[in-house]
Amino acid sequence: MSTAMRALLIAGSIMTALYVLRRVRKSRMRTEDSVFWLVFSLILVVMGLLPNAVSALARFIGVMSAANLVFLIVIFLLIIKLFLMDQRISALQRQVTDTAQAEAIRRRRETENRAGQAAPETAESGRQAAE
Amino acid sequence: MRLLVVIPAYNEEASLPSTVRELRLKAPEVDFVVVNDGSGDRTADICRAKGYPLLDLPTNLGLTGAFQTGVRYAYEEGYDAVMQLDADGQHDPAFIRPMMEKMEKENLDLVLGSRFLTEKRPRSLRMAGNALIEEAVRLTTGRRLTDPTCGMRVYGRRVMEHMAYAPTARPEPDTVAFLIRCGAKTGEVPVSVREREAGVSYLSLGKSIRYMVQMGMNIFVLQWVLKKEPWREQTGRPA
Repeated sequence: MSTAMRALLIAGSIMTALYVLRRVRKSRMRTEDSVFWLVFSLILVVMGLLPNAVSALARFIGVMSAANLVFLIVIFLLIIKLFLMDQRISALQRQVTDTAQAEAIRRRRETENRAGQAAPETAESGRQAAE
Repeated sequence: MRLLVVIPAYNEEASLPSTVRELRLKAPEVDFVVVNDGSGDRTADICRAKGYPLLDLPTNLGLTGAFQTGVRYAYEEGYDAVMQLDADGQHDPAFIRPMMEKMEKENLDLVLGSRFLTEKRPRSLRMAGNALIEEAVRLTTGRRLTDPTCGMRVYGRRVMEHMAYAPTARPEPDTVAFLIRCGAKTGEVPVSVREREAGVSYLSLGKSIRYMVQMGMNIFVLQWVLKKEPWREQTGRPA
């Protein structure tokens, strides 16, 4: 692995880590969500600091060069993140749907109660109003 | 039998009043509720002005989420059955009574309207898709549904809980297939469906391919992964 590549890895990971930590400090990101990115930058730093280990691992797996293995690891991590995000979006969508439905039903009951207190025969008057 | 007719409405200010008028004329004995699916037009205002029972969604959920809101309401209010009626005037309320009678007489869980029970299915790309889904449902459930994509369906009390709360439940043939595999008893009633009067359809031509792929996946693959829930007998159901 070239020195430039190592420098890029280390610099990139440190900047990522600093950016994430700043977002957490400003309460822009939940600490639970920062964990992934801190571990991610940690892995980048380790790969930048221990190029021999990366090369050995690349030879062991049968990847042509250490740089290719770095790409492979990064893509793998990002796919995991993408999958987790997809799961989160599904959950959020379910929650939004559920909340919207509950809210619509709650409003309906509120109107029914108000109408029930004002005039018991609202269905009839509604029918007349529709004609 | 107490039936709630659910009318999902997304930007249907033009056709909603005539749909409701026709419903009241042809099926005055049934209750109905309009589900306003976050419309940008005056759909909700019209409902309030005319006194239609309204479930007003704060945001657009799409047909599935909108219909499910109505089913959830029906389930919680103790209705015996729930059905979807399109706001655009495609569904003729005259068929509500025969569908209800069929459900009651044969103690069914699901009554499906079918355009092709008595008539031959016309030849078109859309109907080819319809036939394909029929075949998929037949292969997976052994049940022949002559018009699986028709939106006129009456859901009985025993399948309502699933329809109301399961995130995977949709008023679509894949869910129908799933319900049949769970032991729901189904029947078909001949209906006819009209052309749209106004407004924009949920299912545009561009979405059709996506729809078919998803139906195929759901009927053949995903439905087998879902946990089957045998319908327990609901108590308090009038004979």
